[in-house]
Amino acid sequence: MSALRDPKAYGAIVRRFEAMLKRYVGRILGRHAQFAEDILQGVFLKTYVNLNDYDKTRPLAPWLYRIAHNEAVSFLRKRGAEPPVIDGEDGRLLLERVRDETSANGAADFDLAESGIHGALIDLDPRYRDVLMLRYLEDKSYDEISDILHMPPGTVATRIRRGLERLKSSLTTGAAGKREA
Amino acid sequence: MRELDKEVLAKIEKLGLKPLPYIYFFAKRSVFWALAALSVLLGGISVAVAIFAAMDLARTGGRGLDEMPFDDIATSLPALWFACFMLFAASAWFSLSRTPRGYRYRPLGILAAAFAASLGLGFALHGLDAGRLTHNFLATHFSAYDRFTHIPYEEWSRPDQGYLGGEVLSVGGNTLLLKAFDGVQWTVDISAAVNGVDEPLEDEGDVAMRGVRTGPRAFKAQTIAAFD
Repeated sequence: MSALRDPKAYGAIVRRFEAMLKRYVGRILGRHAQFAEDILQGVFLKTYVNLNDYDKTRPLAPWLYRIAHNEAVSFLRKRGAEPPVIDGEDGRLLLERVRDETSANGAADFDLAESGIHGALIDLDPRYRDVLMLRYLEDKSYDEISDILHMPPGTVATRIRRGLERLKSSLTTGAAGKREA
Repeated sequence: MRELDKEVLAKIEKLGLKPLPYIYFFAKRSVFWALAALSVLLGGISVAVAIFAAMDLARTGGRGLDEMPFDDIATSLPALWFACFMLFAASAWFSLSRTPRGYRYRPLGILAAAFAASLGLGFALHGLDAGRLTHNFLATHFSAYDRFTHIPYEEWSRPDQGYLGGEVLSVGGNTLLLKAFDGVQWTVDISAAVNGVDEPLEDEGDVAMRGVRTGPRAFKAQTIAAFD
């Protein structure tokens, strides 16, 4: 960690995590994604100043994700912006992954039509949106999500399960409605 | 295409930023740990006082618990201390959950741990007589605490010194029949007593009398007041 205090070494950290954090911040910002790079610059300045707060026994990425998450959420709050909705390609990707996982476990009959996805994701509670985004779009483990969102791993698991149930329920209802029509 | 790494490094140099020293974060974390430890300690003291108060409840001047008015029991019970204890356990959770790893534990788990730690510490402190000492200290220095927690059964169970209290069973002419706190019945001459009780004495329940003992189970009252 002491090597990171050298600005040049810190530059390597910025390069290594820039792309993934930019993508994540962009997902949180939604319609305001054009501000992602500005926010990210603030994130890296903040992490540099707070380097000694990093717990060396934990992986670095979740710590950076956490600061990025807080900065992005704080940015949205300051602007009085609506909570972001996972939409478009991200929404489709999320549901494909959820469908792949649930299909492997049994049955899943999802309506992946654009309107169905949009409706299901708009209805998703932000508590579930955050964990599902990290799990299925950022490929984070429960342990990493726990570190990022500062909640017990058990709570992460519960929210993911409930979020999936809500999504499945919303999408299967949509699919059944279309068949009947 | 922005080169974020160069922008960040340039800004670090321009603003002269330096990582905050480790001691800063260590001190910040220490505050939470210290608060958590203090909360558990205060919770432990609360438990020790609660144990003392519960045991003290049995010392009712010989009066059975089933004969005590409900408000006396409610006053004697260590409810206040259990409330404090719960408050301190909650504050321990608040402090612990803000330590670097604290968020990884369920609030209920942290509360249970704080509860168990305070309980264990409370029994240990009770063994060291800390409950009684704390109770006495508070009773001496805070009259409100003393008024709230103290029921003077023993003070009004000293007929030889002129203090007699208990439940009025009946009143007939200038005599009343009193059941003292230790369950013994007394015949009390109230012919010369100044009665400070507004209610009829039979309805008042417990009374406190100053006077003189005139026989093995006889007492002559000079003043009669409500017992509270």
